[in-house]
Amino acid sequence: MTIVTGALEFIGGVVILGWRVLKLVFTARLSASLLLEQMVLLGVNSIPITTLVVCFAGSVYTFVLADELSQRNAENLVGGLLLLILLKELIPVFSALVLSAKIGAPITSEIGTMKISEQLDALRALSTDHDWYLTLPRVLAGVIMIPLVAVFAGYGGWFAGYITGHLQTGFSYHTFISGAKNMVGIDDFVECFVKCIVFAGVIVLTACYYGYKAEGGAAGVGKAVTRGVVINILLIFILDLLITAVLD
Amino acid sequence: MIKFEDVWAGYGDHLVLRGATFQCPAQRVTAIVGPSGSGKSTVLRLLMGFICPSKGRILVDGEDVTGCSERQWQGIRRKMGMVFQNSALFDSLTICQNVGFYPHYVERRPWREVRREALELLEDLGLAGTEDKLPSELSGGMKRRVALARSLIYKPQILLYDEPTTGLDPHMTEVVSSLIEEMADRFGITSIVVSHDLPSIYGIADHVVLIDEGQSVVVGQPRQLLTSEDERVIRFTASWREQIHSFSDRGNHD
Repeated sequence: MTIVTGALEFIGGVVILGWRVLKLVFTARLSASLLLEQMVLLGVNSIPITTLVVCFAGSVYTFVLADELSQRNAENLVGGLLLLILLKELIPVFSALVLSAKIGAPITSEIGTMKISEQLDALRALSTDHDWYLTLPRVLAGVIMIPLVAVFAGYGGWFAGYITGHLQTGFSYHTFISGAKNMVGIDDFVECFVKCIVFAGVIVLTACYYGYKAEGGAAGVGKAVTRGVVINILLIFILDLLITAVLD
Repeated sequence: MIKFEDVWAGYGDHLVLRGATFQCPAQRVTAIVGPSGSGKSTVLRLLMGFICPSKGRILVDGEDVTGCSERQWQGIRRKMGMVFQNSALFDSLTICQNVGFYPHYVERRPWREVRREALELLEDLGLAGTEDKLPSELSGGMKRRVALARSLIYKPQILLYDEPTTGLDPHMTEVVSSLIEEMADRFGITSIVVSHDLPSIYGIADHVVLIDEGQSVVVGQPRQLLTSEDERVIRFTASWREQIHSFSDRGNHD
């Protein structure tokens, strides 16, 4: 199968899956217990690792910014630039990259294993729509929780950045925050939020899609997981560019 | 009653069933036997609506289910249950959650009430004490019984069994076979058992159908497996008939 037909098949498959989920949101009675379980697994359990990654990213960026800007007596710009970078890239993109592995891989693996061990057939035999039982709670949990995870990650990145900058150049928190008020507007927060929501939906839908496509035993599930993570990483960067171009 | 009328079905370009025509009487145990790859499991997949026939008709209690949509099948499957060959238990759920799946998630009954019913059923099937275990902690025979409980809890009219005794030791084979017979006798469930385990089928089936190279041969009663003069039946049961003859010869010499 050529790359083009493969890409078209993927896009079509994910769009159809997304459409089925959207219909279920308005027509099916959601199970609160299934949703809550996924909110904990996908959201709450992802906060530590995502926050840690964005903390490190925030520190590294502050390191570079503080070093350059302090030489130009412009330390007051460090906080603002860091917050801008956090909102535009570090929070949505780095969180999404972490989550494509942290939540995307297990989703593909779980659904793929269910497929090859006939558990998906067992769901159908029990008159249960597998999109209702598996896809819908995961997509909703992702879309609800990933922005919340991003908030924690953002705070982590911000304070890690401040501590790094303070230790490096000694500037105060007042100096750090003063630039932020001038350089960052509500539209930057909106852009960050939109990216988080879009990335959340894409990560979970792609992960589910590859899970349902898995075949050929354990090796097939492994291939599906790898494919899902790689495609997610690619999509995150493509969508990041598109959303930034549209909203900026 | 279940009827297959000139059913052709397969996977992609590969045709498995070629004009299968037979009936499964209501409230009886029908065994579908045949060599590996002959199309036995395809019969079950057609009955559950997992695949569609390319030609022919399938009737379930007089209702033509050929070409039904997935939504329609969800309704039809409410009167059917299936015990898969490898049990297909949900491995992230406990045994009790597996058994109570249908009443809790499909019928939306409160968990407390469902759990009570599930525990009673598990006890009936000799699985008391396993409710909080995961499927990976159970033996093959126990998993088959849990899979049976998962179907029985919503009292289906039709139960499908895919190779229920494959991989089980003789004692567990006897236990599972007895359960199948009991379900049909006690609850009047129409049971369709796909198997190549002739000795266990002989003891429990009321009616036998042979699938050979995609075509069906209605054998009738189990004893006709030994007396039929149809070449296909003779070919399939040859080694079993030899075994029986050699056992009876040994018995005569003893």
